[in-house]
Amino acid sequence: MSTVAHAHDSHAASHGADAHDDGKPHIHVTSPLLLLGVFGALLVLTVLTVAVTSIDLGPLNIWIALFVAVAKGGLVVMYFMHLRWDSYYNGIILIVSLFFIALFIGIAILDTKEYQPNMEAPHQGQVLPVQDAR
Amino acid sequence: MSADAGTIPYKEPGMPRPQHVVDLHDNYLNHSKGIKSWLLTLDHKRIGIMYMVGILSAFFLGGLFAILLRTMLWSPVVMVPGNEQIASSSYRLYNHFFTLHGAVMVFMFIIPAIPAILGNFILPLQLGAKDVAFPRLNLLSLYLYATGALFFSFILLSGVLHAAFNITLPGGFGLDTGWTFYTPYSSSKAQGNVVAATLGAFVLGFSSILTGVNFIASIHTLRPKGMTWFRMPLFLWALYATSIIQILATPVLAITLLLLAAERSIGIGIFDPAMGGDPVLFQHFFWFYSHPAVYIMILPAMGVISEVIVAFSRKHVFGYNFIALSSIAIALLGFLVWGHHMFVSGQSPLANVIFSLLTFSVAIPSAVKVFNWLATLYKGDIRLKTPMLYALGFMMLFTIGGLTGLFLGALAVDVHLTNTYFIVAHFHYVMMGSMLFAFLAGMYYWWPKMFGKMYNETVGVIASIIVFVGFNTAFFPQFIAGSLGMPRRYASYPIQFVGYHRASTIGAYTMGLGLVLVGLNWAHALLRGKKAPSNPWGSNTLEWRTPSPPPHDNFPDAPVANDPYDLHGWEYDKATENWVYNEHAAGATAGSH
Amino acid sequence: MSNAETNVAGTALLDDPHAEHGGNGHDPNLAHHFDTPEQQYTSAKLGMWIFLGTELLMFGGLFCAYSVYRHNHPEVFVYAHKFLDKWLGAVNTVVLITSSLTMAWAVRASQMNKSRLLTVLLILTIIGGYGFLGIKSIEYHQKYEHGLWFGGSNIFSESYIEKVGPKEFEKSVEHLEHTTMEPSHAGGEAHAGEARGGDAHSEVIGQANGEAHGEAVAGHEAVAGAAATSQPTLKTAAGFSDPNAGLPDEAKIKPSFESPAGLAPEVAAADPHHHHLSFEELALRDKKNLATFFNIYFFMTGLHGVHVVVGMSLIYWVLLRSVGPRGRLYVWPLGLASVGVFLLYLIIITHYMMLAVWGGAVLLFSLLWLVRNLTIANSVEEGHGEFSRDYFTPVDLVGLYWHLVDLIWIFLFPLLYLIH
Repeated sequence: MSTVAHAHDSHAASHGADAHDDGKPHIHVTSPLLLLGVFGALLVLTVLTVAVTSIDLGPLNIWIALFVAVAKGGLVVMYFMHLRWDSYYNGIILIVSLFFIALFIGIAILDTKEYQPNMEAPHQGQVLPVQDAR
Repeated sequence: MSADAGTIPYKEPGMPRPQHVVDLHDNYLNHSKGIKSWLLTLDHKRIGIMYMVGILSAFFLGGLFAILLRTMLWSPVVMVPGNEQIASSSYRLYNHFFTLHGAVMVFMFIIPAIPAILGNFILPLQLGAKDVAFPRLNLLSLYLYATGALFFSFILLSGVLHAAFNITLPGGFGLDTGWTFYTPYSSSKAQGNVVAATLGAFVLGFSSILTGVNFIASIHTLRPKGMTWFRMPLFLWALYATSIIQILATPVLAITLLLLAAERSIGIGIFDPAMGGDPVLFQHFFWFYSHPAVYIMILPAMGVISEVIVAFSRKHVFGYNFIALSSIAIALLGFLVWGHHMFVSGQSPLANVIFSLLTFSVAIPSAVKVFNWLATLYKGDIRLKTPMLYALGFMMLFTIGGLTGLFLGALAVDVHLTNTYFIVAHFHYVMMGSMLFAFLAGMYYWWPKMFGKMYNETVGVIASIIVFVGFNTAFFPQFIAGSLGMPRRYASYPIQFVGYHRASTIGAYTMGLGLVLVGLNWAHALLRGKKAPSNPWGSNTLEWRTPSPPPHDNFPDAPVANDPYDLHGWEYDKATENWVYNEHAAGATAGSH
Repeated sequence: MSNAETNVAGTALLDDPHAEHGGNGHDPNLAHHFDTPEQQYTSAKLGMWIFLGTELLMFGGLFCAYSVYRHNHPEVFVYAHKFLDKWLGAVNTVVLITSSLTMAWAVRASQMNKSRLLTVLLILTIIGGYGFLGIKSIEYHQKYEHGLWFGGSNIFSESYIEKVGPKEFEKSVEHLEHTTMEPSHAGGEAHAGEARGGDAHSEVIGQANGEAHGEAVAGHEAVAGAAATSQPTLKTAAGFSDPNAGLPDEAKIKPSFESPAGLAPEVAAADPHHHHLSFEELALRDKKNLATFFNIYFFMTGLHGVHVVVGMSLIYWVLLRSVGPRGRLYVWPLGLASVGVFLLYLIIITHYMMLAVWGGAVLLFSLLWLVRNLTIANSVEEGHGEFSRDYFTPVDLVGLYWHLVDLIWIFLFPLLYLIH
């Protein structure tokens, strides 16, 4: 399958270049080697993220898991979803979306963290001092 | 900016053509016939008109219940002494009334009104395009709106019928949570059919998202030759900013409503303190959408005002770049201030301070707009036609609404004012006073283009004055009542507030009367209106360069854009009551600058 | 031109080639309101990315709910996630990544005019989707069997405890811990067969530890909220309590504190790094919140599953357009069979296993037969499909959607299954 695809690779690429002036879309054809490489990397990262859970690194575990997930997501977005060769606008949309998600989660956690002691106090039988409103 | 006009070759493809030849034969209204040709149309203009029918019906429904609410509040006492039965059922009825009024107005009128009606109709025309980028998506969005709106209003109305006459429809107990669906009331205590209502709002939200997707893609890819980003009409900038909010915020509403439905039906526990959840988190979720949604309501209104003020001041807009970029700034800053709805909801003091500070920052781009409009008016050749009257009304009411918003953004003052009529007055000044006035300004302004008929100017002017007076009578007393401590959402009130409430009710009826007059004027214009010329106001944006109403494909030839606010060269022709473009005059005046 | 606008057949919403052939409509794939195919392609792609942005934000809200809940109740997540089978989750990750690869390759095939390869790759991608949902439904089935379903059907939920009473509840939790909880360090031991072994084992231990019942009862009451003051909830040396607590003959069972033989000590010995949290060790408020973990799990994976189904339907629609008229004769029944597969999965979840096996066999044969015929038909009429290097937008857009589904799972997997 991959050899057949290889044979036509250069042709498609040159076609993409030719199509520049006749209003045809500029297309980027991903090479099979790259696709398989990304696939392999994703598998390796999956194994890594499962393996790392059996090592106790304390709070670091969640960050490693997230870091690996971000790396995998980045590979999928850049290569499988062609963003590397795509219009900048599409990338901006992705980044803005992620930024707003981060903003939302960040502020929600910040807030809930701040008032959590007030919520838990009754359970622990403690009475918190009245907050100084200055 | 006006100096550019000389260097850009001005093409006027649609204009020199004799009007009657084009008009009689092909326009989007008579292009094809039969109900099917409307229901399955992909034409953005027809979709806009169908939206108009739906959204105006929603406005009528919401308005009717506003009047009913105010009627109930005429008397300070709902309770009949000694008859608890009547009292509790009246209170329930009142809850259903204000929920219906709020939910219908917000989800079915204010949010979609300008983008879905005027945006759909005008955006491709201002772009000089034949349609929006995704016409089928546009039609789907209309059907989602229709489905959601019918379903949602059915649920709400069932609640009213149940509370008023004890009639149980399949919609059950309806909804009495207010349009905000706050947990834990909505998730565990409310009697109503909350799950069904959330599904209705969910579908309406999808309609809004699809419109946003369509507009952004259209503005990116369909701009004609000569229209760079900073030569776009300001209405398009406003719609672009609105669409950004629609696509970034509305999905969060969708997930909020799904979580609420799950919370209520199976008790997933995310918002339920008994299961470790956090009811304040619901408010974070809700306002992460609903605060930006306020800007979904107001930004397109600002876009309309920019267009109208230029056209009736006969002057190039002042500070184009500032108005354009302030729309984007408002859209983005609008996402950072949602917590100011939660100052007294148990939000942490740290978040309160952050949100309070950020709230003040939104005032900057808003004020930038207002000052630029004022500067545009300054030394302009102002014509007080109906759209302009509404636009001027907008500027006054928006300023009041915006400044009182600053009171509420200040933490300490908010503790006193929140949940009083001060809030009610504030957001009615912004949503009703500003958004509705801009909507009416836009409808009058583009009415000739949409239907090819002129409305009656005298009636229009009279109605606008009645609406303005009625509005202020209805809502200004609420500022005072609120600052004196009259709480919102109460069916009965202490006797000392009776004056304020009665003034409010009289104002509401007055405004209702004015709006009926507006409706009659439009109906008359449709049936008996004088034929509209292609450019009755002498504007230079592209939609005025095609006949009224536009042909099916919008433009006989693809137009080339220049500076949209360069009004040089448009001269009034008394015989046709039309503004025509005089290339010679344009060159002469442009040269003289 | 007059009737053209009534043509809204099909579901291509972002990609709109057949809407109208007016004006410069020499290219059959170019909609009337675009000037060039490039403009149309760019618009479609931009529209799709915006839509993906909205999908991300929707899931972002869900991740926010997750994060806040986990942040406030870390112990709940640490304890409850062990009931999930991380190996099934990992396999599913691989399945979805593989189907992402075939989808990306399908886009490449369409860009290179390889219509037969395109068809094959699309079918492979759909099979990947079936695989994912199949494994998911086995997982859901296990949860259903073990009473770890959502809402009131979860044994940790308040309504369940009220229904069965605190003693019965404690017993089932303990049973559950021994049968399903995965010792996270030890690899794939928690699969069905192993679990049964563990099951038998746990009963023995239970007998051996009969003495612990007094303390266990105290624990029950605290959970049910019957006892307002929290009595100290002791635990046996083995870290779990008496399954026979409350039975009439419990007194006859001999205590055996000294030699807590059984699975748990072995587990503890096998991994000195780990302190395994047991139900008894959880704080009272965490005990009451356990059901929420499963609700979050089902909500997140369920919404993701809906997206998988939508993605598969879209791929199916592309498949339909990628073949010629003869091939379509086989693709249509393939769609029907797919609906059958979805129904089958629902049946698997609600545990009519035998029915599912027979139905599955019948479906499998019909699917294979259809795919075989499709391949034959396709080899005869190569190039009869709609896609070529000049027009492959639908394949591209559906591919983007499918990758997004993959992307979300990439985050769901570690966040739900791999909690430390």
